[in-house]
Amino acid sequence: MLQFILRRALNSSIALVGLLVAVFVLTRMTGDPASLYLPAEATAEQRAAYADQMGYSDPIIVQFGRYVEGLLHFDFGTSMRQQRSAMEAVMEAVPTTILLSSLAFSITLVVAVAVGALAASRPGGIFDRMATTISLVGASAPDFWVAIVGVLVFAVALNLLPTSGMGGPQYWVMPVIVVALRPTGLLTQVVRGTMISVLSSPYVKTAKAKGLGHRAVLGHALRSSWLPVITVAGDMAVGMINGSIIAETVFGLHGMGKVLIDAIMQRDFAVVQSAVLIIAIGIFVLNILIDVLYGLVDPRIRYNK
Amino acid sequence: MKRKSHALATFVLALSLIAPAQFARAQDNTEITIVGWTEPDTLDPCETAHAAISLVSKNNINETLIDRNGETGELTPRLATSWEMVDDRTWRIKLREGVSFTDGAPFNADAVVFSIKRGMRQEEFNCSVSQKSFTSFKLTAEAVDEYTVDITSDLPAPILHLGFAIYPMMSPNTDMNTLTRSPVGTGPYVLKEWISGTRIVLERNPDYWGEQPEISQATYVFRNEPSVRAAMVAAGEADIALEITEQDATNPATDFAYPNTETTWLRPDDRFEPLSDVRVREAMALSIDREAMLGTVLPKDTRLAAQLPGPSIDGYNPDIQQRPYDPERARQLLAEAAADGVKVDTPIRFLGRIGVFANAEEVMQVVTQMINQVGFNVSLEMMERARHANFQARPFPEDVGPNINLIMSDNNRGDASFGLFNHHSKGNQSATYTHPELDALIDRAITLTGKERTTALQAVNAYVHDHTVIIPLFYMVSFARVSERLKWVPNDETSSQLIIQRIRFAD
Repeated sequence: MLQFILRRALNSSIALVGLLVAVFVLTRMTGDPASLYLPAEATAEQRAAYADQMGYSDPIIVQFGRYVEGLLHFDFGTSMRQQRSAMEAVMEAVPTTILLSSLAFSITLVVAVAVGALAASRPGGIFDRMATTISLVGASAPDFWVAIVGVLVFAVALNLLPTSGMGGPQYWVMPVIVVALRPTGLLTQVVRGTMISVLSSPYVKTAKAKGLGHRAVLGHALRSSWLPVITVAGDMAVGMINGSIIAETVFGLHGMGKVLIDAIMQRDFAVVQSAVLIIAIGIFVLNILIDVLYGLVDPRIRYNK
Repeated sequence: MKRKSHALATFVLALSLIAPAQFARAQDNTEITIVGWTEPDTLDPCETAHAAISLVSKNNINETLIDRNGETGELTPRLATSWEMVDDRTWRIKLREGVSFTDGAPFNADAVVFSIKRGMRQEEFNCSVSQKSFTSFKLTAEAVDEYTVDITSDLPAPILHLGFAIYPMMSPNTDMNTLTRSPVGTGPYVLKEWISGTRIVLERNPDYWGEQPEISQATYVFRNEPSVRAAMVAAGEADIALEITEQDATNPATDFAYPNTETTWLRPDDRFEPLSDVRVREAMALSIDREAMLGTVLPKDTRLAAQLPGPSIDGYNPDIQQRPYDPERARQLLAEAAADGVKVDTPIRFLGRIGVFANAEEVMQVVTQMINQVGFNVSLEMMERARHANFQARPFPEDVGPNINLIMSDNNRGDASFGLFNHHSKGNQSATYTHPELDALIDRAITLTGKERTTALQAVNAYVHDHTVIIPLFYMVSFARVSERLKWVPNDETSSQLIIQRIRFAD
């Protein structure tokens, strides 16, 4: 297992280097940040002086060399806008994203597995039809619309929850629901479909014929359904790490997605690069976890070959 | 079933228990919360050229020498008690005595010298507000005595004093080379805390030189989504929500439209045929039915613009009439131009910026359709801000070809020359128009003072209108929601500064 993780780490680090080079080059191809940052009144000389101060007037290879040299000293550059360490600006947002995505992911997993499994146990029954309809609605409801309607209903009309912002548990209710809604709908469908397939397999029929109880059958079937569920859930978790941009924007949460989007819009190169680096590392760790989970769920999967 | 009912009841009970305690925003009548659209990147006084920073800092933390009334254009003393031109390049400023920065440094001539010096080191340090206040002028400041300072420009500067209504004074202890997140000023408020991504809190400066403000503490929070900003005031979580949309401004008791001092205009790039022909440009102006857009794709409070500066700006020409919507005359002008060999059907790019104002894309689609209905061949290209900036200022992309560009620029600095430089072939980065006659008119106007200046600037505006150098469209408005517990309405200034000192409680 350790050997597998090390091998994956090596592969991922190569991909990471490629990603950083691509992001570095692509951001600089979008043009001069001074045109966005300086007021319209700034003269050509003032713009040129600013580009010199920021190092944007150097050839891109020189800029990249400076960036790599900085990386070797754990210097990830300075935010053009905030004039402070870009990594500091990014790391401030990490806890929010981790909390938001882990809460949403936990809810998604628990609700989808429970509802999907129960729906599959009586296909075509009332619960199944309700679960299917609601999960389809959840999977197709636009995040943005749900978030705004949530604010108007629960915060303005009913005054049960705060409109937005960060604070106690109540501040997380709406953002977590908004982030979890679509993945829950999708995953419920996946669990249900997989469970129906497993429940109709010969070994389950045999177990039933031998008189195994309903709960025990469901338990066995659920274990066999884990692999596709982990695959889909893993993708969803990666999406959540990328930043729940809609929820962060609407609810004023200082998370990774919002930091990244703001930095892209403002051409704050150092912040973009740092955010991509952190997100990439997060995705790498998550992928390792998913691979490990595969092995735990299905012992037939081995990584040392 | 019984268990499910219990679970539901527990959930509702839990919500109802936390709700009243957390969301009844019964702030006492000394503190307010303001919700803005984006968090400042820094609070350095040098960056108050950016509205998000200015709204927190300008004349709350860092004060200017002069106050300018956005509605009337009147100048009144703030940190300066008087100002006069000593010669055509030098202004002598008398300073208010007995004022200190909140770090204990005295506010005197040396502090003004420091503040000017910090903003003028463009080779070493970027100071955006210096560019906004004084454009390309290079200033030096010299202390005459403890409370008198001479500020000298490298060029004749008859309106330099208007820059003193924008440029903030900063403590001599401010770092010369880096932007600060902990600004120190002389203002009625000091920065209490800034929790990045969460809030900025200002509290009353107990040692303020002027009258103590009624508001003891102002908390700024930031939400990108206008509906949420409006909802925060409706839910009692905030007192002022800035830049909400017209669609959210539904409550006449709390929602206000106010002029945001921005003018939208079309810039026909006359370097290219057919836009180099004045008849073609006039035809384009006559083809746009602007009134039809008010109350439909634009707020009904939006006003039609016939020239770039607004009525409170020196140089505004009251004799310039609105161009009517006259598609017949437009077709006639195009036919005349075509008869003279002008290729009026040449494809023209309409360069638009996504989100430059609410419904910008809809407005530009309507304009495109109207223009094309009289015989033009215009196609709209919407682009994000960064790409659009490439087309707005020099060096323009070489392959741009015939184009019109929808630009929105502010006109709140008190003198028409700031905007008119948009048309000066050498004086501004964004000028495409190259007419020596217009350049000469501008060059003359900016050296004059008093009534002569006003008349000369009006003549420039008349030229711009008569030659359709640009096609002015609208004076824009913004919307804000204000809690009923406050006695304050947004005005012309609100887009660039929000002076908390002027806010009162209704009771």
